[in-house]
Amino acid sequence: MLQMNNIKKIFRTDLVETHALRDFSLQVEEGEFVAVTGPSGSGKTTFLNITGMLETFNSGSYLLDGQDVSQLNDNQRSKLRNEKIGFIFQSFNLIPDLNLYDNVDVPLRYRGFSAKERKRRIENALERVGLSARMKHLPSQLSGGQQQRVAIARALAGEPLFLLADEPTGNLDSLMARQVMQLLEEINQQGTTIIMVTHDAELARRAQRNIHIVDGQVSDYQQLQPVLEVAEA
Amino acid sequence: MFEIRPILSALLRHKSSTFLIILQIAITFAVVVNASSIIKQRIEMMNRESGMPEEHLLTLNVNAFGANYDLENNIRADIELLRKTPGVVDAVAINQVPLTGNGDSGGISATQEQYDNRESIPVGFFMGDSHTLNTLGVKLIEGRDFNEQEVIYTAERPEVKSSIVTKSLADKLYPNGDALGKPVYIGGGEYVTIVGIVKKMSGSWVHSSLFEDSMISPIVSLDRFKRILIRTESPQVTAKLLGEVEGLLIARNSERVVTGVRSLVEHRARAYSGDNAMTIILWSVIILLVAITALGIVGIVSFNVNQRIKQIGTRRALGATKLDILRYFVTENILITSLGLMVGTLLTIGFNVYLVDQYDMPSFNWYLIPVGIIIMLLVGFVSVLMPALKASKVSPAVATQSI
Ligand SMILES: Nc1ncnc2c1ncn2[C@@H]1O[C@H](COP(=O)(O)OP(=O)(O)OP(=O)(O)O)[C@@H](O)[C@H]1O
Ligand SMILES: [Mg+2]
Repeated sequence: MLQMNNIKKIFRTDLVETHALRDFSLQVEEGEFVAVTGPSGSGKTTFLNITGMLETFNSGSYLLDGQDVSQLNDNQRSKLRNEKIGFIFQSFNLIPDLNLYDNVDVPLRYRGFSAKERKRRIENALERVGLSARMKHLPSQLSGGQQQRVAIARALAGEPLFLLADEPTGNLDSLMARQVMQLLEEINQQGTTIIMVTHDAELARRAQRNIHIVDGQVSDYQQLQPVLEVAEA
Repeated sequence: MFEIRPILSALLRHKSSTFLIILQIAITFAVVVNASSIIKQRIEMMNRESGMPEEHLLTLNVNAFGANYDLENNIRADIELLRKTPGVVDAVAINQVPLTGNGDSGGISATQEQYDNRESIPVGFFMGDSHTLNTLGVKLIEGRDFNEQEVIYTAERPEVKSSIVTKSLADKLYPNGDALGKPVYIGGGEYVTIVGIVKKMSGSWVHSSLFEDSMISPIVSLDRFKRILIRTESPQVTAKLLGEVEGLLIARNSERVVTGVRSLVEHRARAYSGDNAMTIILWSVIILLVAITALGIVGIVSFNVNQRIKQIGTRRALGATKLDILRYFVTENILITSLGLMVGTLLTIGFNVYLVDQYDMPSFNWYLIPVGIIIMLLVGFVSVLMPALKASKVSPAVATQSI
């Protein structure tokens, strides 16, 4: 479903050249729940951005659902993003001026669905995250965990191929973090592929597969970790 | 596609800043439309057809001081001299000259009763000999011109029998259009008969209601102060005579002073100088206000874009194209501008009612409202474009940046 080969990403500022990803290769299959860990500055967010086509890369190849991403222009990438990917951000990124209903509506409007179809999808998505009673509330009227659930509803409403989450629990206390993690697990069990960056080793361990990024590359040692854990158990 | 409802609900969460920009647009619109209305009225007034070949006309005053100065013969001799001067079409000794702001006026009416009931019509009184119409260059459309026999030279109150009126005045006196041959009461129980009607002729006071209502009588009043009007063949002759006419008259008889030698073009410019200045001031006000509003829009949209960088990145991450982002800010701005213009239209009408009421201004050119709306929408669109383009260039990657 997702195949990256030898991706290279270099950030050039006036004097510094940062090799955020070097010869980065990864394959993710449909239905997987992948947790991405790694030290700060190792390239996790860069990886996620490239996966989600928020950023371009310097060399290498990336096939998303069989499509060569490097051949697409900005509009085509936007469209593909809108149709195939759901994003979940560390700081939720809800639009503060819009109520929950309108927040979930944002990607659906860009999709060009009819009003009726949008309504159905918004109500379903909010139902799935248990917030359908608060559709008319503003984000500021919700707790952090609830806001992140709205963001998850927004990501789900377009029925994406996969979810990309950058430290979705990073701004939440441990109780709320576990609730959000539980929700993501449910969603994964219902068939949605999830790639999640996290600093929380405990949460990472709950994922089906762990990827450890060090210095812009997948670390071989950490890839063995889940296997070792299974052996321990 | 055009996210009007969510944009509106987002705007309503920022009532005060939205309200301020709406108010600014509304006030600008009201002032601009009313100022344009005034400009338009002034320009229309300045462009009124004068009915006279102004570039061919010049005027001057003769002040006689000689002790035994023979008024009648000197006037006759002066006029004869001028009429014979090369390049001169005609000349006349006249009591007032159009557009100059000086002259005689009074009231007349179609019947004695109207006169006695103070229902008289205000008019400008012109007096001159049988060359008056030809010198003024006005067009006779009904009846006849004066003949030499009926011209009276006098220093007393003359007893005239005939007069020529402008069409505008004829229609006021006799609305059925049958003024020719009818009497005109001029006070003291006297009346004169309308023998001719001229199509159009300017009065002396450009801002007066009697500007187009004049009556000409075949009289040359014998005064030491005489106005003379000269019609030439061309603007070149007019220019030449402006420099030479004084010498010409003084050479014939030096017992007088020649003053106020001016072309009618100059008189026109003087008569309308206030209106011209007003037009320029109002134009400046319009340009200034529109520029301030445009800059205000640029400022507030730039501010909004900077405030919403993260939101823009998030929208991009969720699938918005660059065009979607551009459209978002343009739509938002068109909504604000439209609200401003709605309020502005009400203000405009209110403001105009006040102006008409307080300053007796002629009321409004209604089509200026739609024209103003289109112009303000264009100004709003152009102003929002630059910051909106900047917004569309925000990278979707800012969505995942911390803070
Ligand atoms: N826009 C950018 N311009 C320049 N350098 C950048 C940019 N984005 C990331 N980098 C650099 O690339 C490297 C990888 O950054 P990235 O954000 O992917 O790390 P990360 O693993 O997500 O770190 P963290 O755990 O702190 O979020 C870092 O050295 C970072 O400074
Ligand atoms: Mg990161």
